[in-house]
Amino acid sequence: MQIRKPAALFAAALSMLLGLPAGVGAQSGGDGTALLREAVLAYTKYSYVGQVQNTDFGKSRADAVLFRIEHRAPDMTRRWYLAPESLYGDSIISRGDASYDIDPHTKRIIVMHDDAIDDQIAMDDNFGLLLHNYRAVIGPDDNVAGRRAIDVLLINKYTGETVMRIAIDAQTKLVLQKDRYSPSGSIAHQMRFEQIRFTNAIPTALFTVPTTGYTRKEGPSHGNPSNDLQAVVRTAGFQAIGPKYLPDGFLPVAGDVADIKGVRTLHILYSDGLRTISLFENARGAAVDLSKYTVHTTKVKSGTAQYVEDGSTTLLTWSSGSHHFALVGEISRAELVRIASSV
Amino acid sequence: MMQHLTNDILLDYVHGELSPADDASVYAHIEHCQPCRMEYEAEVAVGEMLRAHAAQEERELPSAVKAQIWERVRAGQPSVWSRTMTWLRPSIALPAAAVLALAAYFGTTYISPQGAPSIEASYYLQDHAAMNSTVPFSDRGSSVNPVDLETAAAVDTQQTAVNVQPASYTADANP
Amino acid sequence: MGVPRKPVEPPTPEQAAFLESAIEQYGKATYNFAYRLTHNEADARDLTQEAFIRVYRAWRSFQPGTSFLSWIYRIVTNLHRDELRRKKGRYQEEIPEDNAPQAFGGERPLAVSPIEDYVEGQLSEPLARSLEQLSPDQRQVIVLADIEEYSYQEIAEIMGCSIGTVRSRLHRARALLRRLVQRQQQKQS
Repeated sequence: MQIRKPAALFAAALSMLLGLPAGVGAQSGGDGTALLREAVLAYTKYSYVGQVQNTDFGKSRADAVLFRIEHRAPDMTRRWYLAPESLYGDSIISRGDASYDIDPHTKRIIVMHDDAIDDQIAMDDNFGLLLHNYRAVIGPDDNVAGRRAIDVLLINKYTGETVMRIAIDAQTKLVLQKDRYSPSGSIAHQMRFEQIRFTNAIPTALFTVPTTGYTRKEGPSHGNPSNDLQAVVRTAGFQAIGPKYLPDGFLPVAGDVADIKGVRTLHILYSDGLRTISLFENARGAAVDLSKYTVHTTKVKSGTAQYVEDGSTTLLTWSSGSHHFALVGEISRAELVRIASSV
Repeated sequence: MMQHLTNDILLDYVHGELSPADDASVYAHIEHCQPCRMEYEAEVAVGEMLRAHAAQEERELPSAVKAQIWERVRAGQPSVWSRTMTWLRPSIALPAAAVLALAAYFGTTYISPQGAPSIEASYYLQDHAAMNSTVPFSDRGSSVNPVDLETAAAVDTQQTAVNVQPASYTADANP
Repeated sequence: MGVPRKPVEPPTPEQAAFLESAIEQYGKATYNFAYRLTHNEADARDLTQEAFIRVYRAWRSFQPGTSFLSWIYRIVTNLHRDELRRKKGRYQEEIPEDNAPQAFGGERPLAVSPIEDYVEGQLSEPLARSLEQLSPDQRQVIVLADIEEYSYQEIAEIMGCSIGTVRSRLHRARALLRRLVQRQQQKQS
């Protein structure tokens, strides 16, 4: 049995937990749109070294990835992985749209190109979509990795849910922390700088990809996404079927067609500017291999569908005739099932 | 500027894990330093709340558990454990082999019809993440992880030539 | 998987008495401990059942005079960990132990007016949710240090790690818990 604690003690704790005392900034509650705009571009202006932890909160566990990061503005980045153990020592060097996955254990380098990464037009469009669907509300002052930060809450205009909290460095406007909430209100994903130091003294030599002693391999191409969806769908070469239902604010924003193991696969990305859903579709009856995951079953329309969870991401797969579908997203499973049922 | 106590020290103090000398100096410090005292009280209160929460959630041992223990002791059944934990409740975690067996049980097959190959789920997950990169504040960028080399090796993608010019979409574009 | 099947030997009267009194005295505590680690009744039942079976099998190795509860908690902790390890694939979050504590640089928040009408229930839900978001190791250390109120030394023995690891795990876990509860509260308010 516990001794009843004095009310004052509770009050103190509650205030700590609520963060009430933190001098609520003058602009708290204000519009964070301008701040967001700066935050999107901050990494192109400032160079830094630091340590980042990404944590993905699944239903019953949390997976964390920890890496050191060196970034030289505008577009050179090296990430050096510390944890989990399976990634320890791996690094990724990104230069522009090319990235090099360097595995010192197997002496392999995987080269990847992501054309989407510097598609500024698409980026601007999606930022517009974000502002269209979300209110950006400035929250109380924050402190991340020892730096003063301004919190911006992104609140969905349709549901009123806070979907993301972003802590923006007061000085440089770089995003220092990002918490994505699940529909239940718990944190689904967190990116957080554990340490950060801004510096202009980062040598370009850091971003040199080793050439000797390594085998190079072209990694899976993640395509050349286009916003001209009609052209993409035509290229698919089969009668593509899309969803009739999408959550409020979602629109198709990009798509591509890839031949995966010889199977032509159409990939359409839907977004509300902050959250995304991917629909993959093939007409060759090529199923999704889920053998590396814990498989659950559910119903889509009257048929059986399978889903797996990878941290806070859900992959739902089902078939209809010779069409196989995979729907991937960070939204609730109920929403995914609803979208799938409308296909 | 006054040097305040770290929360780590306060936590050790709350748990009575400091040396007598450190304990005494923390005691003296929080007597005089109001912010540190507040912080100390907050840490104490967090502990109190945890205990209050635990007390509130406390439950009786279900009688079935006791009965099952005796049943197993008498029957000498060694490993209900592995069966319950790895087989009956797939939501917890299944070794790959069990997943396959379970899939068979549910009548699912990973061998696609018409001889079409099956495509690794992680390919879709990675592709989804990759296409996100134009969405502001997407999990890509700062949270990109090294690719799963096995998957990268197994999935031999060939990009088809979809050379369409990016077209700026308008907010009222239709699906 | 699976323990080799041993020939069935009925319990001796001594063994039976030992098990009977162990369940009687510690069954509830063990079940609650397991529940706090897993936050799932079915898992807690399985863990409790298995822990007592292990106790029964190893009853001779229990030394009178040592804490039975620490022993069975250690068994539950290990079973829980084994079960988590079986989860293939990605790594369970293990916060690095080498992070230097961050000193407060005199930017302490100021005191606020006490909230008189504090209702316990208000924090219970955010607290429960936040606890679920901790890694298993973090939850274990909080349960042992703050709910069961074991010393760092005892926790180190139960968790099978060093006192330094207990210390840093607890520090990290408590700091994260506060952050998480704070977020939950912010969301609600």
